[in-house]
Amino acid sequence: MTRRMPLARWLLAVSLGLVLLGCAEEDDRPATFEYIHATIIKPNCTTSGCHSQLASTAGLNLETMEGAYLILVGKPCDQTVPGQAPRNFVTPYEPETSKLMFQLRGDQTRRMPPDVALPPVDVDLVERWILQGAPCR
Amino acid sequence: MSLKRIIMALAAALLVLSGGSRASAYPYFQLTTGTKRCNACHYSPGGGGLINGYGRDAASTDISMAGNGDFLHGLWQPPDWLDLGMDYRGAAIWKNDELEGSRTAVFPMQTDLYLNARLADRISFSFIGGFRGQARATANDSVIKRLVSREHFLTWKPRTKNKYYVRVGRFFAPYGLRLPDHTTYVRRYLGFHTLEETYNLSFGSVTNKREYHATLYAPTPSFLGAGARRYGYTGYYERRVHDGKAAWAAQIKLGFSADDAVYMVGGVGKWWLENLKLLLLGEIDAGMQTLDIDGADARPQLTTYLGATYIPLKGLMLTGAVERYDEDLDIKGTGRNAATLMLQVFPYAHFELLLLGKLETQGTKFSKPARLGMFQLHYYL
Repeated sequence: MTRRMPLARWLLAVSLGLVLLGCAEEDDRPATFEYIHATIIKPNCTTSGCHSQLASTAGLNLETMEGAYLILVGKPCDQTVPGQAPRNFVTPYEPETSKLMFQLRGDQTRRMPPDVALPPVDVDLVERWILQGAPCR
Repeated sequence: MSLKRIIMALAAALLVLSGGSRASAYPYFQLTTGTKRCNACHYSPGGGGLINGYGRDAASTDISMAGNGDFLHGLWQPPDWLDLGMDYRGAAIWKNDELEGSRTAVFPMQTDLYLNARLADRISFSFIGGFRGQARATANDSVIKRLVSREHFLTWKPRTKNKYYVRVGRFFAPYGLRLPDHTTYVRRYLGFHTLEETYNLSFGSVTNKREYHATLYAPTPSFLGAGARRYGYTGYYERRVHDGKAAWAAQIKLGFSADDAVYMVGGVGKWWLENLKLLLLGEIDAGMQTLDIDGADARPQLTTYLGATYIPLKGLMLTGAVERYDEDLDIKGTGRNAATLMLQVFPYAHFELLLLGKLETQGTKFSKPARLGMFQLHYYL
């Protein structure tokens, strides 16, 4: 009887996870760069071999929110006047011309992140952020 | 060219070409070889890294099909106060997904040198250093800039109570299954990805019946590693049951940064079904991330791993595993799923051949998973 306990614990844990999954809601997350950097860019793009300060692959260090915003949008986080986004990563209000969207979707270019794609809802959040003018906060 | 020069040139080439690093923890061996605790074979109290004399014996007698597991295959032994080792992994991969089609690559995955030196009666120093991997070369990249030490720590053990230890330095805080593959979700998304080792002050006790580890951690400076840059605490308690054929563990991880806080609790299960030659390994971690951002709700998170490893004979392992990671359980479609089949062969001491197939999906679309195939040659000294 006691030999079944570890399996029972695992089944209980998996069941709990499935119950929690059933509670998911539609996406109401804030479409700001501050949020996108903390929840999408930092965990997925700044790994040790990619866009961390350590590696700065392709010359891009996306570790800090302010630095990443400057690289992607082409202006400091709190500046209202648009600048020139390097390599056209983000054009505010225009996801259809923003290179970042092509990269996240692997559309006509190498997909980013190259190892594991982002969930589509995360890509949609980035698109929503650009459509709203790519605000920093 | 002399043989010595050829060997030196080959060693230099391996170092220059080396890529990402992996921790060399193999939880598959903990209960299946009759060894109840990881530090029976490793110098590190939590397992992983350089193996000791007992571990080298086990590599010869319990793990590999043949061969001598001693350093340099027994040709030369370092002095008593010193132990050395090396890991080299070369990999060939094939990837296929809906967006990008098929791609292949052959690359060196890991070159690490290991050292353990007994500095005084009860104090030792451990070091792992090598070359970090990089997705693509950059203009100012150089071999020297890719040198990195992912572990370096001092360990102290009291003379009379050898089960206790205090450890200070850079290493992964003991937590979870400590699987060798850094891309498994319980490593990648919980702060144990490549070069995310933190600086720690750790205290613990390890016996055949139980072990616990309490660790205060601080982030690694950004020029030495990656990760979430949090300060925090991890606690891990593992209890061996059924005469060392099974184990369960409870764990906690707290992390705090200027931007967020993470509160995580979890559990681990290990069960060696000797009659079936089957090892079951499972881990589940439930967490809550709070963000210091206007309008951002707290993010409930869940990470799970469940694997079964069939070991029909010495030196052969077949593992099937499923994983799931939910970065925000409140938002539909943020989950990730993976299923892995892995064959590991240890034909001769110091050698491992690995063949892996993996399917992975993101969100709610399960019909066309990304596919990964990998062959890996692993040599350790």
